[in-house]
Amino acid sequence: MVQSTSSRTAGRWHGDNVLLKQSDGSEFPALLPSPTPLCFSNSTSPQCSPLPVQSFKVPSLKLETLTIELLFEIIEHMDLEDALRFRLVSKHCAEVVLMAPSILKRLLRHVKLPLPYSPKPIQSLGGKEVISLCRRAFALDANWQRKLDRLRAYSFFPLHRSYLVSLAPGGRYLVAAYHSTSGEEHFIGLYDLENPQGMVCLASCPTETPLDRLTTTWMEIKGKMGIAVTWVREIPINKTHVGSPDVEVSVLFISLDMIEALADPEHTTEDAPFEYLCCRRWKSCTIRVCTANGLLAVARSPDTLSFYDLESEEKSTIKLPHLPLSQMADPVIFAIKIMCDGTALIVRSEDGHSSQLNLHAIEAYAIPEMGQTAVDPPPVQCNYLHSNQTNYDISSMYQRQSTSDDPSTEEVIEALAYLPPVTISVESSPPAKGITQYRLFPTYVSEPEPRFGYVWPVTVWQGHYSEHDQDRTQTLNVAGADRSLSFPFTSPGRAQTPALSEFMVLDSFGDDTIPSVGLPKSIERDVVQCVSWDESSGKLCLSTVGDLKIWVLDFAV
Amino acid sequence: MPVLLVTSDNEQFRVEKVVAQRSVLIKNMLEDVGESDQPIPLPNVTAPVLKKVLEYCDHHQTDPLPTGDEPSADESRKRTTDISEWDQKFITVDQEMLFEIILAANYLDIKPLLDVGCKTVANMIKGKSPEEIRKLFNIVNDFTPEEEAQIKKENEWAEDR
Repeated sequence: MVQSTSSRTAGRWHGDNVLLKQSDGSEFPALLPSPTPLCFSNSTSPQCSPLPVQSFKVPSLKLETLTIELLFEIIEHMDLEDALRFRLVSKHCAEVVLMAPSILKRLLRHVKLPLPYSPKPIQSLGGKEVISLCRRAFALDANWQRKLDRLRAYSFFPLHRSYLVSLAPGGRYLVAAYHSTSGEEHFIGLYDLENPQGMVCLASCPTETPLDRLTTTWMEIKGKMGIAVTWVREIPINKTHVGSPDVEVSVLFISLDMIEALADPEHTTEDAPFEYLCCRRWKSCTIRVCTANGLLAVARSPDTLSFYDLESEEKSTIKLPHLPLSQMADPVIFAIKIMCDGTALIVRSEDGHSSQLNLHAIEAYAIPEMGQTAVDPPPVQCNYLHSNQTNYDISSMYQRQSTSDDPSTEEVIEALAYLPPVTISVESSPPAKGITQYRLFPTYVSEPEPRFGYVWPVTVWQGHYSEHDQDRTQTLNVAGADRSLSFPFTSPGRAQTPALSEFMVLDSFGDDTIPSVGLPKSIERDVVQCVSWDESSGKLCLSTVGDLKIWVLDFAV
Repeated sequence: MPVLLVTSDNEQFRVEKVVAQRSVLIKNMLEDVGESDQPIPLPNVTAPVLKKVLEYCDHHQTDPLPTGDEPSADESRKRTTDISEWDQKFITVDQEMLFEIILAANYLDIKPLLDVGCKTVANMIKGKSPEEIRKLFNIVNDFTPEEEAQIKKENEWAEDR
């Protein structure tokens, strides 16, 4: 069941009085009548043509009458953006562009915009897929530049009560954790948001108990590209087992081949869709996880980082050193991220439960070789700050999509090895209420030997709430490499879930007033349960409490 | 030694061999027939167009001839979007002549001229909305209203600029 609305919203800088223009599809500007082509040709039907035969002239040569090969030649000289726009001129133009995927791919190499993630090699993409990839990149760029005055929102009923959602990079596949109607069984399901048949659930897998965290990422396992789904859940105390409950971290894998087979309505595959890559349990503690590039990283407070190779099941460990001058008793690791440059980034504090300002650290540690344990290794880089915040979020993008499968050295250097910036987002402490972002920007250093890395110390950006948001008591932060989202809300009592009255999109412009964007009216009063943001495709996915819908807000309009 | 070219409308052009050989088609023909004063028929080119094309060949007679089959050279050739000042002036013609030149350059196999022509068309299209492109090239919008609505919905970003 698919319900769909199109909407345009107008955002304003300052978070107050968000303008919201709601419309259905009819608000798209009325079509202009196409101009009647002027025809100067003398060719008319014989009976009304008194002209002698020699003045008969062939119809003038036009762009459209050139052979396809020549139109290809012309497209080769266009920018990709113009080539895509050329499709909209006429049916013939659309067909010609669609027939030239190899030309489009050559043009793609010169595109400087971030592309949506593509799990398939660029070379293997067909005309439609290349067009859709590029269209999304251009539409997003146009939308970010006009400061987000558009989004298209649609929702669907997943038929179950979903409570956690996670979009796989690229924005086509969504993993949701849901309860059965009775509430007694718990599953994760993989949804295809762009299936020609409409939105469909391709596969599901029971999880025994509700999950606490859910993340998805693409990775290659044993030569196969696929989606890795990582979850954290608590194992309830059973009667015979005394003490605290256990915490379980599991990584499941579903290959792209399998996903595509399942997406085909006539599929006949009988194999189990998901494969367990890893499942570990510990005594209850604060656990943060990150999965990327064939690795699972688990941060267990107070001081242990473990890395599991998801192919070989080998493990390496870091025992973190004490924070300098630390005398407090309750150190906590708030967040972890596997970085593209072979390090693990963590945010931790000497006391995770204090409301007083105390020492927080943003540190990068070299990931030890498999089988090794590093005890008290010095951080590769570190920054210390005083804070009392705890809900840090680190942007999840691992690497940017490259514009070709075999970039040249020059292209890699120009693209800074496709390293995305890293953003750590957190609410600012009072009195300066708002949001603080710590950002690391990629860089290329040619001396003494060429390498790619990040610029330290972290760049600090502080956004202040407008007066309108001053009375909000909490913010749900979703950090992104280029653009982060925040939902400021006033928590009613002890509830942790914000009403969707508005949300903000922070980007890298550096203005210190937080821009905000209104949501379509139909959802703004609902209560958000979970948010997933795939910034590469510009899709934001929300599960709401009220009507059990899953909303997809698409900014690539 | 001059070469004699005959156009579709039966006009004769006497040109220096070095100029005529800018056309790979003519060059190959000359190589095939050897030394001969036979006129070369060019049934796909009219006199006004050939005149224009020969003007180009004359100006570029000392350029190195393109080597052809190198894909990497091909790639860089495509991406240099600048057109030299002389070529720019040369190609400032009405649309019909522009397309005639492109057709002739393709038929006569004069790659650099084909590129100048195609680049010029690509530059005319650059940054324009579909509606502007239709007006410019006199193209009929033949999408059905449904197709058009669908396409507009998918491509709002491309419409307003």
